[in-house]
Amino acid sequence: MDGPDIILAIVVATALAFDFTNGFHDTANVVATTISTRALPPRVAVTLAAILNFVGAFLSLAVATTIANDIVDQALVTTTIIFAGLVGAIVWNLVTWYFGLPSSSSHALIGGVVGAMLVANGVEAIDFDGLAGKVLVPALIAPVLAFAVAGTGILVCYRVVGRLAPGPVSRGYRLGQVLSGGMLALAHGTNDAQKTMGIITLALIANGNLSADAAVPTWVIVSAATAIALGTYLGGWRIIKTMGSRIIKMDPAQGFAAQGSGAAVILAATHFGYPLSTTHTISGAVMGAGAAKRLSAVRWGVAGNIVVAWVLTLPCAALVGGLVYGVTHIFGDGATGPVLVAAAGVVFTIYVFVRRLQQGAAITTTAEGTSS
Amino acid sequence: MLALATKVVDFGQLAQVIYVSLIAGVGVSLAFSIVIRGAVRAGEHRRTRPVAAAAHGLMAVAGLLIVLAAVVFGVSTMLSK
Repeated sequence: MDGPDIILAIVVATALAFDFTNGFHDTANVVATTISTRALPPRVAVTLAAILNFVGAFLSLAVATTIANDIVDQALVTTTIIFAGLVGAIVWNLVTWYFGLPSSSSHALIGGVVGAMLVANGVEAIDFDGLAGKVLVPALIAPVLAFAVAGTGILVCYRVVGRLAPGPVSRGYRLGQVLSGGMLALAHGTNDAQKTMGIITLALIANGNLSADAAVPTWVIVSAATAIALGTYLGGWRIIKTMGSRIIKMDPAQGFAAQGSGAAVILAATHFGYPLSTTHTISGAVMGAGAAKRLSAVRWGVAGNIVVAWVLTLPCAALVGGLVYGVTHIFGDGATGPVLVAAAGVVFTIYVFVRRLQQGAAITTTAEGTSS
Repeated sequence: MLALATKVVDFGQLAQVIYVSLIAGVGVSLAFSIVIRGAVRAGEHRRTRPVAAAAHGLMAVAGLLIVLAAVVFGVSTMLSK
Protein backbone atom coordinates (compact mmCIF):
# COMPACT_ATOMS: atom_id res chain seq x y z
CA MET A 1 0.00 0.00 0.00
CA ASP A 2 1.59 3.33 -1.08
CA GLY A 3 1.08 6.88 0.28
CA PRO A 4 -2.10 7.85 -1.64
CA ASP A 5 -3.76 4.53 -0.81
CA ILE A 6 -2.95 4.95 2.89
CA ILE A 7 -4.55 8.41 2.81
CA LEU A 8 -7.58 6.96 0.97
CA ALA A 9 -7.92 4.23 3.59
CA ILE A 10 -7.76 6.86 6.36
CA VAL A 11 -10.37 8.99 4.52
CA VAL A 12 -12.76 6.03 4.12
CA ALA A 13 -12.33 5.07 7.79
CA THR A 14 -12.83 8.70 8.89
CA ALA A 15 -15.91 9.09 6.67
CA LEU A 16 -17.46 5.94 8.12
CA ALA A 17 -16.60 7.12 11.64
CA PHE A 18 -18.34 10.41 10.78
CA ASP A 19 -21.35 8.46 9.52
CA PHE A 20 -21.40 6.43 12.74
CA THR A 21 -21.31 9.60 14.87
CA ASN A 22 -24.06 11.07 12.66
CA GLY A 23 -26.34 8.14 13.50
CA PHE A 24 -25.25 8.23 17.16
CA HIS A 25 -25.87 12.00 17.37
CA ASP A 26 -29.24 11.95 15.55
CA THR A 27 -30.91 8.97 17.24
CA ALA A 28 -32.54 11.39 19.68
CA ASN A 29 -34.19 13.28 16.82
CA VAL A 30 -35.57 10.14 15.25
CA VAL A 31 -36.84 8.19 18.26
CA ALA A 32 -37.39 10.77 21.02
CA THR A 33 -40.97 11.55 19.99
CA THR A 34 -41.91 7.89 19.64
CA ILE A 35 -40.51 7.05 23.06
CA SER A 36 -41.76 10.12 24.90
CA THR A 37 -45.38 9.47 23.82
CA ARG A 38 -44.92 5.78 24.67
CA ALA A 39 -45.84 4.75 21.14
CA LEU A 40 -43.12 2.10 21.32
CA PRO A 41 -40.88 0.77 24.08
CA PRO A 42 -37.39 2.33 23.86
CA ARG A 43 -35.67 -0.93 22.89
CA VAL A 44 -38.09 -1.56 20.01
CA ALA A 45 -38.05 2.08 18.84
CA VAL A 46 -34.26 2.22 18.67
CA THR A 47 -33.94 -1.17 16.95
CA LEU A 48 -36.60 -0.23 14.40
CA ALA A 49 -34.91 3.14 13.77
CA ALA A 50 -31.54 1.45 13.22
CA ILE A 51 -33.02 -1.07 10.75
CA LEU A 52 -34.92 1.62 8.83
CA ASN A 53 -31.87 3.89 8.76
CA PHE A 54 -30.03 1.00 7.11
CA VAL A 55 -32.83 0.39 4.59
CA GLY A 56 -33.22 4.13 3.92
CA ALA A 57 -29.61 4.40 2.80
CA PHE A 58 -30.44 2.25 -0.25
CA LEU A 59 -33.44 4.30 -1.39
CA SER A 60 -31.79 7.07 -3.39
CA LEU A 61 -28.43 8.42 -4.52
CA ALA A 62 -29.47 11.97 -5.46
CA VAL A 63 -27.92 13.58 -2.37
CA ALA A 64 -24.68 11.60 -2.78
CA THR A 65 -24.47 12.90 -6.35
CA THR A 66 -24.94 16.49 -5.15
CA ILE A 67 -22.16 16.12 -2.57
CA ALA A 68 -19.81 14.52 -5.10
CA ASN A 69 -20.53 16.90 -8.02
CA ASP A 70 -22.12 20.20 -7.03
CA ILE A 71 -20.19 21.69 -4.10
CA VAL A 72 -16.52 21.84 -5.11
CA ASP A 73 -14.49 21.46 -8.31
CA GLN A 74 -13.92 17.70 -8.57
CA ALA A 75 -10.77 18.16 -10.68
CA LEU A 76 -8.99 19.97 -7.83
CA VAL A 77 -10.04 17.67 -4.99
CA THR A 78 -7.40 15.52 -3.30
CA THR A 79 -7.85 12.87 -0.64
CA THR A 80 -5.96 15.10 1.83
CA ILE A 81 -8.53 17.87 1.28
CA ILE A 82 -11.40 15.48 1.93
CA PHE A 83 -9.64 14.14 5.00
CA ALA A 84 -9.20 17.68 6.35
CA GLY A 85 -12.86 18.46 5.63
CA LEU A 86 -14.00 15.35 7.47
CA VAL A 87 -11.84 16.14 10.48
CA GLY A 88 -13.21 19.70 10.47
CA ALA A 89 -16.76 18.33 10.50
CA ILE A 90 -16.06 15.79 13.25
CA VAL A 91 -14.28 18.36 15.45
CA TRP A 92 -17.15 20.86 15.03
CA ASN A 93 -19.72 18.13 15.74
CA LEU A 94 -17.87 17.13 18.89
CA VAL A 95 -17.57 20.72 20.10
CA THR A 96 -21.29 21.45 19.53
CA TRP A 97 -22.27 18.08 21.04
CA TYR A 98 -20.14 18.92 24.09
CA PHE A 99 -21.90 22.26 24.56
CA GLY A 100 -25.37 20.90 23.67
CA LEU A 101 -25.82 23.01 20.52
CA PRO A 102 -28.19 21.34 18.01
CA SER A 103 -25.82 21.62 15.07
CA SER A 104 -26.15 19.93 11.70
CA SER A 105 -23.72 17.14 10.80
CA SER A 106 -24.52 17.78 7.15
CA HIS A 107 -23.63 21.46 7.24
CA ALA A 108 -20.49 20.61 9.22
CA LEU A 109 -19.42 18.10 6.58
CA ILE A 110 -20.01 20.49 3.69
CA GLY A 111 -18.40 23.38 5.61
CA GLY A 112 -15.34 21.29 6.45
CA VAL A 113 -14.76 20.24 2.83
CA VAL A 114 -15.34 23.79 1.53
CA GLY A 115 -12.89 25.22 4.11
CA ALA A 116 -10.16 22.70 3.27
CA MET A 117 -10.73 23.32 -0.43
CA LEU A 118 -10.50 27.09 0.05
CA VAL A 119 -7.14 26.83 1.83
CA ALA A 120 -5.81 24.34 -0.71
CA ASN A 121 -7.00 25.91 -3.97
CA GLY A 122 -8.62 29.28 -3.31
CA VAL A 123 -12.12 30.54 -4.05
CA GLU A 124 -12.19 29.40 -7.68
CA ALA A 125 -12.33 25.77 -6.49
CA ILE A 126 -15.70 26.31 -4.81
CA ASP A 127 -18.95 25.94 -6.74
CA PHE A 128 -20.72 28.85 -5.05
CA ASP A 129 -23.80 28.41 -7.23
CA GLY A 130 -24.15 24.78 -6.12
CA LEU A 131 -23.38 25.70 -2.51
CA ALA A 132 -26.06 28.41 -2.43
CA GLY A 133 -28.67 26.68 -4.58
CA LYS A 134 -28.32 23.14 -3.28
CA VAL A 135 -27.25 23.69 0.34
CA LEU A 136 -27.80 27.17 1.81
CA VAL A 137 -31.25 28.06 0.49
CA PRO A 138 -32.78 24.59 1.11
CA ALA A 139 -31.17 24.62 4.57
CA LEU A 140 -32.96 27.87 5.32
CA ILE A 141 -36.30 26.71 3.95
CA ALA A 142 -36.46 23.17 5.40
CA PRO A 143 -36.94 23.90 9.13
CA VAL A 144 -39.47 26.66 8.40
CA LEU A 145 -41.34 24.38 6.01
CA ALA A 146 -41.32 21.50 8.52
CA PHE A 147 -42.60 23.93 11.18
CA ALA A 148 -45.46 25.04 8.91
CA VAL A 149 -46.39 21.52 7.74
CA ALA A 150 -46.37 20.08 11.27
CA GLY A 151 -48.30 23.08 12.63
CA THR A 152 -50.97 22.76 9.93
CA GLY A 153 -50.99 18.97 10.31
CA ILE A 154 -51.66 19.03 14.05
CA LEU A 155 -54.43 21.62 13.64
CA VAL A 156 -56.07 19.32 11.08
CA CYS A 157 -55.70 16.36 13.49
CA TYR A 158 -57.29 18.26 16.37
CA ARG A 159 -60.09 19.50 14.10
CA VAL A 160 -60.98 15.96 12.97
CA VAL A 161 -60.73 14.13 16.31
CA GLY A 162 -61.42 17.04 18.66
CA ARG A 163 -64.68 15.81 20.18
CA LEU A 164 -63.77 12.15 20.54
CA ALA A 165 -62.82 10.41 23.77
CA PRO A 166 -59.11 11.08 24.40
CA GLY A 167 -58.21 7.49 25.31
CA PRO A 168 -58.92 5.78 21.97
CA VAL A 169 -57.60 8.82 20.08
CA SER A 170 -54.26 8.65 21.88
CA ARG A 171 -54.05 4.91 21.28
CA GLY A 172 -54.77 5.51 17.59
CA TYR A 173 -52.07 8.13 17.17
CA ARG A 174 -49.59 5.98 19.09
CA LEU A 175 -50.23 3.27 16.54
CA GLY A 176 -49.80 5.86 13.77
CA GLN A 177 -46.48 6.87 15.27
CA VAL A 178 -45.08 3.42 14.49
CA LEU A 179 -45.64 4.32 10.83
CA SER A 180 -44.62 7.99 11.02
CA GLY A 181 -41.57 7.18 13.17
CA GLY A 182 -40.59 4.49 10.69
CA MET A 183 -40.88 6.92 7.80
CA LEU A 184 -38.78 9.45 9.70
CA ALA A 185 -36.04 6.87 10.32
CA LEU A 186 -36.18 5.90 6.65
CA ALA A 187 -35.92 9.56 5.61
CA HIS A 188 -33.04 10.15 8.01
CA GLY A 189 -31.17 7.12 6.66
CA THR A 190 -31.62 8.11 3.06
CA ASN A 191 -30.56 11.76 3.42
CA ASP A 192 -27.75 11.44 5.95
CA ALA A 193 -26.07 8.19 4.85
CA GLN A 194 -25.84 9.57 1.32
CA LYS A 195 -23.61 12.43 2.47
CA THR A 196 -20.97 9.92 3.54
CA MET A 197 -21.45 7.98 0.31
CA GLY A 198 -20.87 11.22 -1.64
CA ILE A 199 -17.71 12.03 0.31
CA ILE A 200 -16.22 8.53 -0.13
CA THR A 201 -17.10 8.61 -3.83
CA LEU A 202 -15.41 12.00 -4.14
CA ALA A 203 -12.28 10.54 -2.44
CA LEU A 204 -12.29 7.55 -4.80
CA ILE A 205 -12.53 9.91 -7.79
CA ALA A 206 -9.74 12.11 -6.39
CA ASN A 207 -7.52 9.05 -5.88
CA GLY A 208 -8.16 7.83 -9.43
CA ASN A 209 -10.09 4.72 -8.39
CA LEU A 210 -13.26 5.96 -10.10
CA SER A 211 -13.96 8.12 -13.13
CA ALA A 212 -15.60 11.51 -12.56
CA ASP A 213 -19.01 10.32 -13.78
CA ALA A 214 -18.93 6.93 -12.05
CA ALA A 215 -21.86 5.72 -9.95
CA VAL A 216 -21.54 5.22 -6.20
CA PRO A 217 -20.03 1.72 -5.70
CA THR A 218 -22.17 -0.86 -3.89
CA TRP A 219 -19.59 -1.42 -1.14
CA VAL A 220 -19.74 2.30 -0.36
CA ILE A 221 -23.56 2.18 -0.06
CA VAL A 222 -23.48 -0.92 2.15
CA SER A 223 -20.72 0.37 4.43
CA ALA A 224 -22.33 3.82 4.84
CA ALA A 225 -25.71 2.20 5.58
CA THR A 226 -24.12 -0.11 8.15
CA ALA A 227 -22.20 2.72 9.86
CA ILE A 228 -25.24 4.98 10.28
CA ALA A 229 -27.43 2.08 11.43
CA LEU A 230 -24.85 0.99 14.03
CA GLY A 231 -24.49 4.57 15.23
CA THR A 232 -28.27 4.91 15.53
CA TYR A 233 -28.54 1.66 17.48
CA LEU A 234 -25.71 2.40 19.90
CA GLY A 235 -26.66 6.07 20.30
CA GLY A 236 -30.14 4.97 21.33
CA TRP A 237 -28.96 3.26 24.50
CA ARG A 238 -27.38 6.49 25.70
CA ILE A 239 -30.72 8.20 25.17
CA ILE A 240 -32.72 5.54 26.94
CA LYS A 241 -30.59 6.08 30.04
CA THR A 242 -31.34 9.81 30.09
CA MET A 243 -34.89 9.58 28.76
CA GLY A 244 -36.62 9.83 32.11
CA SER A 245 -35.40 13.31 32.93
CA ARG A 246 -34.62 15.14 29.73
CA ILE A 247 -37.05 14.27 26.96
CA ILE A 248 -40.00 16.59 26.64
CA LYS A 249 -43.57 15.34 26.65
CA MET A 250 -45.84 15.71 23.62
CA ASP A 251 -49.21 14.13 23.07
CA PRO A 252 -49.35 11.27 20.52
CA ALA A 253 -51.15 13.40 17.92
CA GLN A 254 -48.37 15.99 18.07
CA GLY A 255 -45.78 13.24 17.83
CA PHE A 256 -47.51 11.78 14.79
CA ALA A 257 -47.82 15.16 13.04
CA ALA A 258 -44.22 16.12 13.82
CA GLN A 259 -42.74 12.84 12.62
CA GLY A 260 -44.92 12.64 9.51
CA SER A 261 -44.14 16.23 8.54
CA GLY A 262 -40.42 15.86 9.16
CA ALA A 263 -40.37 12.70 7.05
CA ALA A 264 -42.37 14.37 4.24
CA VAL A 265 -39.99 17.35 4.04
CA ILE A 266 -36.82 15.24 4.19
CA LEU A 267 -38.04 12.71 1.62
CA ALA A 268 -39.26 15.42 -0.78
CA ALA A 269 -35.93 17.27 -0.51
CA THR A 270 -33.90 14.07 -0.84
CA HIS A 271 -35.72 13.28 -4.08
CA PHE A 272 -34.23 16.45 -5.60
CA GLY A 273 -30.78 15.85 -4.10
CA TYR A 274 -30.84 18.54 -1.40
CA PRO A 275 -28.51 17.58 1.47
CA LEU A 276 -30.71 18.89 4.30
CA SER A 277 -29.96 19.09 7.97
CA THR A 278 -32.21 16.37 9.32
CA THR A 279 -31.62 17.73 12.85
CA HIS A 280 -32.94 21.17 11.96
CA THR A 281 -35.84 19.79 9.92
CA ILE A 282 -37.03 17.47 12.68
CA SER A 283 -36.56 20.21 15.28
CA GLY A 284 -38.66 22.55 13.11
CA ALA A 285 -41.42 19.94 12.84
CA VAL A 286 -41.43 19.25 16.59
CA MET A 287 -41.66 22.96 17.33
CA GLY A 288 -44.42 23.45 14.74
CA ALA A 289 -46.50 20.69 16.34
CA GLY A 290 -45.91 22.25 19.76
CA ALA A 291 -46.55 25.86 18.71
CA ALA A 292 -49.86 25.07 17.00
CA LYS A 293 -51.26 23.80 20.30
CA ARG A 294 -49.79 26.51 22.50
CA LEU A 295 -47.15 29.07 21.51
CA SER A 296 -45.69 29.03 24.99
CA ALA A 297 -45.22 25.25 24.73
CA VAL A 298 -42.19 25.77 22.53
CA ARG A 299 -38.87 26.31 24.17
CA TRP A 300 -37.93 29.29 22.06
CA GLY A 301 -34.46 29.23 23.57
CA VAL A 302 -33.91 25.95 21.72
CA ALA A 303 -35.16 27.60 18.53
CA GLY A 304 -32.66 30.40 19.12
CA ASN A 305 -29.88 27.84 19.63
CA ILE A 306 -30.81 26.22 16.32
CA VAL A 307 -30.53 29.56 14.52
CA VAL A 308 -27.18 30.26 16.18
CA ALA A 309 -25.94 26.77 15.27
CA TRP A 310 -27.27 27.20 11.73
CA VAL A 311 -25.33 30.44 11.28
CA LEU A 312 -22.13 29.19 12.92
CA THR A 313 -21.81 25.65 11.58
CA LEU A 314 -20.78 26.24 7.96
CA PRO A 315 -18.13 28.93 8.68
CA CYS A 316 -16.79 27.27 11.83
CA ALA A 317 -16.52 23.82 10.26
CA ALA A 318 -14.90 25.51 7.24
CA LEU A 319 -12.41 27.23 9.55
CA VAL A 320 -11.49 23.96 11.28
CA GLY A 321 -11.34 22.12 7.93
CA GLY A 322 -9.02 24.80 6.53
CA LEU A 323 -6.87 24.73 9.65
CA VAL A 324 -6.58 20.94 9.56
CA TYR A 325 -5.60 21.06 5.90
CA GLY A 326 -2.93 23.65 6.74
CA VAL A 327 -1.53 21.49 9.56
CA THR A 328 -1.65 18.32 7.43
CA HIS A 329 0.09 20.11 4.57
CA ILE A 330 3.05 21.06 6.79
CA PHE A 331 4.11 17.40 6.58
CA GLY A 332 3.96 17.41 2.77
CA ASP A 333 1.68 15.51 0.41
CA GLY A 334 2.42 12.04 1.81
CA ALA A 335 0.56 9.99 4.37
CA THR A 336 2.50 11.35 7.40
CA GLY A 337 0.24 14.40 7.90
CA PRO A 338 -3.10 12.52 7.75
CA VAL A 339 -1.74 9.71 9.98
CA LEU A 340 -0.57 12.19 12.66
CA VAL A 341 -3.77 14.29 12.46
CA ALA A 342 -5.93 11.14 12.57
CA ALA A 343 -4.07 9.95 15.69
CA ALA A 344 -4.51 13.37 17.33
CA GLY A 345 -8.18 13.31 16.30
CA VAL A 346 -8.76 9.95 17.97
CA VAL A 347 -7.19 11.22 21.22
CA PHE A 348 -9.29 14.43 21.05
CA THR A 349 -12.48 12.44 20.39
CA ILE A 350 -11.91 10.10 23.32
CA TYR A 351 -11.14 13.08 25.59
CA VAL A 352 -14.34 14.93 24.60
CA PHE A 353 -16.50 11.78 24.93
CA VAL A 354 -15.16 10.95 28.37
CA ARG A 355 -15.59 14.54 29.60
CA ARG A 356 -19.14 14.81 28.23
CA LEU A 357 -20.30 11.44 29.47
CA GLN A 358 -18.96 12.25 32.93
CA GLN A 359 -21.22 15.33 32.95
CA GLY A 360 -24.29 13.60 31.39
CA ALA A 361 -25.31 13.84 27.78
CA ALA A 362 -27.45 16.66 26.42
CA ILE A 363 -30.55 16.13 24.32
CA THR A 364 -31.55 19.24 22.46
CA THR A 365 -34.43 18.45 20.14
CA THR A 366 -37.35 19.46 22.27
CA ALA A 367 -40.56 21.42 22.00
CA GLU A 368 -42.85 21.16 24.98
CA GLY A 369 -41.91 23.04 28.10
CA THR A 370 -42.51 20.45 30.78
CA SER A 371 -39.88 17.83 31.38
CA SER A 372 -41.04 14.56 32.77
CA MET B 1 -29.98 40.40 -7.90
CA LEU B 2 -33.18 38.55 -8.76
CA ALA B 3 -31.61 37.28 -11.98
CA LEU B 4 -28.62 35.97 -10.01
CA ALA B 5 -30.89 34.26 -7.49
CA THR B 6 -32.91 32.70 -10.31
CA LYS B 7 -29.70 31.45 -11.93
CA VAL B 8 -28.37 29.92 -8.71
CA VAL B 9 -31.55 28.60 -7.11
CA ASP B 10 -33.93 26.26 -8.92
CA PHE B 11 -37.13 27.82 -7.62
CA GLY B 12 -39.25 25.33 -9.56
CA GLN B 13 -37.69 22.40 -7.70
CA LEU B 14 -37.95 24.19 -4.37
CA ALA B 15 -41.62 24.95 -5.01
CA GLN B 16 -42.16 21.24 -5.70
CA VAL B 17 -40.47 20.33 -2.41
CA ILE B 18 -42.72 22.82 -0.61
CA TYR B 19 -46.04 21.73 -2.08
CA VAL B 20 -45.22 18.00 -2.02
CA SER B 21 -44.24 18.31 1.65
CA LEU B 22 -47.42 20.23 2.45
CA ILE B 23 -49.68 17.79 0.60
CA ALA B 24 -47.94 14.71 2.01
CA GLY B 25 -47.50 15.98 5.58
CA VAL B 26 -50.93 17.54 6.02
CA GLY B 27 -52.67 14.95 3.82
CA VAL B 28 -51.37 11.99 5.81
CA SER B 29 -52.28 13.74 9.08
CA LEU B 30 -55.80 14.31 7.75
CA ALA B 31 -56.19 10.78 6.39
CA PHE B 32 -54.92 9.15 9.58
CA SER B 33 -57.17 11.36 11.71
CA ILE B 34 -60.09 10.17 9.58
CA VAL B 35 -59.00 6.58 10.31
CA ILE B 36 -59.12 7.28 14.05
CA ARG B 37 -62.41 9.17 13.87
CA GLY B 38 -63.99 6.42 11.76
CA ALA B 39 -62.73 3.63 14.01
CA VAL B 40 -63.78 5.34 17.25
CA ARG B 41 -67.24 6.28 15.94
CA ALA B 42 -67.75 2.78 14.48
CA GLY B 43 -66.96 1.32 17.90
CA GLU B 44 -69.39 3.69 19.63
CA HIS B 45 -72.28 2.92 17.23
CA ARG B 46 -71.63 -0.80 16.83
CA ARG B 47 -74.59 -1.99 18.92
CA THR B 48 -77.09 0.88 18.65
CA ARG B 49 -76.69 2.11 15.04
CA PRO B 50 -75.18 -0.63 12.88
CA VAL B 51 -75.57 1.30 9.60
CA ALA B 52 -73.77 4.35 10.98
CA ALA B 53 -71.12 2.03 12.44
CA ALA B 54 -70.58 0.42 9.03
CA ALA B 55 -70.33 3.85 7.36
CA HIS B 56 -67.74 5.01 9.88
CA GLY B 57 -65.90 1.71 9.48
CA LEU B 58 -65.75 2.27 5.72
CA MET B 59 -64.48 5.81 6.31
CA ALA B 60 -61.71 4.40 8.52
CA VAL B 61 -60.73 1.82 5.91
CA ALA B 62 -60.69 4.47 3.17
CA GLY B 63 -58.46 6.71 5.32
CA LEU B 64 -56.11 3.82 6.04
CA LEU B 65 -55.85 2.98 2.34
CA ILE B 66 -54.96 6.62 1.59
CA VAL B 67 -52.24 6.59 4.27
CA LEU B 68 -50.77 3.32 3.00
CA ALA B 69 -50.96 4.51 -0.61
CA ALA B 70 -49.13 7.72 0.32
CA VAL B 71 -46.35 5.74 2.01
CA VAL B 72 -46.00 3.32 -0.91
CA PHE B 73 -46.07 6.20 -3.42
CA GLY B 74 -43.43 8.12 -1.46
CA VAL B 75 -41.03 5.18 -1.20
CA SER B 76 -41.55 4.09 -4.82
CA THR B 77 -40.90 7.67 -6.02
CA MET B 78 -37.62 7.66 -4.10
CA LEU B 79 -36.68 4.31 -5.59
CA SER B 80 -37.46 5.44 -9.14
CA LYS B 81 -34.82 8.21 -9.14
